Amino acid sequence: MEPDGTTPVEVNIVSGEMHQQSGFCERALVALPVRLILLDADLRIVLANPAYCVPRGVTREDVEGRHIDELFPASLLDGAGLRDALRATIQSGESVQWSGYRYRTDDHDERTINVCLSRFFDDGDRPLLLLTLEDVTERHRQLYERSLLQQIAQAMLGMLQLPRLLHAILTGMTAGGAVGLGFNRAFLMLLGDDDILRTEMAVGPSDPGEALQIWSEVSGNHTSIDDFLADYDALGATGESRFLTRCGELEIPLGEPDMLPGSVLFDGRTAHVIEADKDPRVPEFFSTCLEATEFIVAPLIVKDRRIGIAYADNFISRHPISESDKQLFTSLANHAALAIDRAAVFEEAQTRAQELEEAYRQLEAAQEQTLRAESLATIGEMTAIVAHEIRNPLSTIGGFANLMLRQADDRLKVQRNARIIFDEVMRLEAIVNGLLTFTRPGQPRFRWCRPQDLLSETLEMIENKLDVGDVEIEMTCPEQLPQIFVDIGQVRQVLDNLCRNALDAMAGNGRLTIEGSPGDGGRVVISVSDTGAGISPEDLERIFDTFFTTKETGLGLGLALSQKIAQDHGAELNVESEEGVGTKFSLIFPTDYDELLSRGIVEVRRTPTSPDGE
Amino acid sequence: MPTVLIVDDDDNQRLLYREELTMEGYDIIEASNGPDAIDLVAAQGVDCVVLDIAMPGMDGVEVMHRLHDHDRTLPIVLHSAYPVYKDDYMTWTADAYVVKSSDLSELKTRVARAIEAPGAAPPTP
Repeated sequence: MEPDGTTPVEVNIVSGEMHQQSGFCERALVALPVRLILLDADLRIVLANPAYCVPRGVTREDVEGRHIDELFPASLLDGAGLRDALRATIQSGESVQWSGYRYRTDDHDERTINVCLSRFFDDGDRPLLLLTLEDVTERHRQLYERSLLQQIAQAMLGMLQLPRLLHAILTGMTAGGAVGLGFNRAFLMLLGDDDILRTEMAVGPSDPGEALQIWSEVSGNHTSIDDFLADYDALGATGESRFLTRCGELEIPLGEPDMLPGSVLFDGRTAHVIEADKDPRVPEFFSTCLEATEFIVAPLIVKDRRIGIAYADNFISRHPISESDKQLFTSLANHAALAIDRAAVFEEAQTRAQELEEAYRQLEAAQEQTLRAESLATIGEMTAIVAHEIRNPLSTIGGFANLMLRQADDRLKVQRNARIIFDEVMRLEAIVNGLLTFTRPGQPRFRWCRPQDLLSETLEMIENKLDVGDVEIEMTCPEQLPQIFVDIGQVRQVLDNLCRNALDAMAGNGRLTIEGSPGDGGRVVISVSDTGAGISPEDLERIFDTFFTTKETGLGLGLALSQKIAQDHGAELNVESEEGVGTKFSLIFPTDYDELLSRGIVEVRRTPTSPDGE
Repeated sequence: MPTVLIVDDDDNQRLLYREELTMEGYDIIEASNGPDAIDLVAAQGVDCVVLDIAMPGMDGVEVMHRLHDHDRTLPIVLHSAYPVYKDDYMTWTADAYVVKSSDLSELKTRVARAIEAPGAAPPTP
């Protein structure tokens, strides 16, 4: 062996060309970071480079001549099929390349390798196998860990509800089988507004038996983190165990900056405790409660906000916590902190939304109450007026009946009295009928309808039913008016009332105009105008009052009722008048869906939003 | 015979009161509105006025005040379907306030009293 550990390559093994460059080749063999082995047809080692020999503490001589079975682990030769590949290549000369192949060494260490295999012949024409093995375990593990972290972070991403999120985080920390970080036990503490850390959730079996039971149950059915998370109870997060009970009881005020677990929130770094009872940072109650000798604690911090801490240990398996374990755990904790913070914000947003909904509901209820009170007040007013209106005829009827008793012998007077009683009763009946029109026998039936159609019908009604005399009738309405949402029967009633009033005002001479026109904000205006006597300013003030009438035979209910109908449609009924010139009544209907909605004329989901919907 | 002026816009009610009060022995004159009533009182002697309150145009309370402006002692019996005016301070100066009813006995009693003791304070209700 040369001083630098090389072995002169023997001339009779390599080809002629290589012989010429033997110095270079030697150096190449030494420098090669991959293990290089030459095998003969019987799978015996002919040559092994330093990359193979040195880590094993053997020399070339130790391995030359030995059969591959003596040196390579069964998991590589048989499990991975290397032996078959070697034999096949020796036969066929076909080169083989494997990348990312996993096998287990005799020390139960999992390694990942890239394998290259090719055949060549020595100058004796004997077949030789050139085998290179590159150990990529480290690189693969890093890739794997990054991907794992990404998967766990991804799983946490969509979770806005705290319990499920905490469960996901703990699953990420404890799941084994290449799904999670594989710690035995873990728990999360969150920092309250009172600066006290409280355990929110914990995962962990109390003893190896329980652990084994849980894992064997679980690992069979779950191969990805999503599988785990779908099975909320899989890790016993909601089950009973001494560990869960113990750490569930933990309540730690954030006091001294030097004492775990709170200290990690002061220095912002993960703490790795190797011997808990000897570590000055560990308070006695903490190590007594958890019983683990080795554990790690990571802070959960978002910007400057302290969210809480995460704890993990390998209490059951006693597996030491490596540096890469610690780094992975810290990364996971950082993701977890962000996710928890986000979930907290979401929860607050939800609470706020619920509060608003509640406030809105109360507002609606209050509004309903106000409306009801108003309508009751109106009913009260109405009742007073009605009572008065009824009392007059009643007292007349009673008075004459009474008189009749004393005038019984005077036939003429009896007849006259009876007649008066009859007339007053008729008057009462008319009042009662008029009142009944205020009550709707059925629900109003609102429908979208074209103003043009409504006005044409009104024109027909006037010509057919009303006594027009010499009054000129005019109807105008543009084609483009938007449709209005109305109970057609009720609107006809209003128009009937307005037209009759107009005709009465004109006493057989003049012009009656019914007109449709556009108003502000998409509204539709339907008006009835006459060229009659007009209404005095004093009367104008009272014209919509119930029982107000300037006519001798009027009841005074028509306009009051018309106004009520207008209100029920979310519409306005206005009047303009000049004495000696004429009067114009205008019905103004809204057509904007939102306005109709806010006035309660339409209900969401029950009404088409436009005339064309249904 | 004392003269009673009946003021009411309802024709049938005026007829009723005329019939009943005539049977009590009074001479009756009628007015269907406030201005007519004031004119009648100015034109001739009236011993009592039966005055409806709810009338179109000038209402009964205003008629009463106008009449009393001329003659404080004129007996006035307010006669209304509304009980609410009873507590209205504007009606204190009336000799009586009678709520309309089919039974006219109270009206007759009050008219009789008002005529007997004109200008007397109204009996407490």
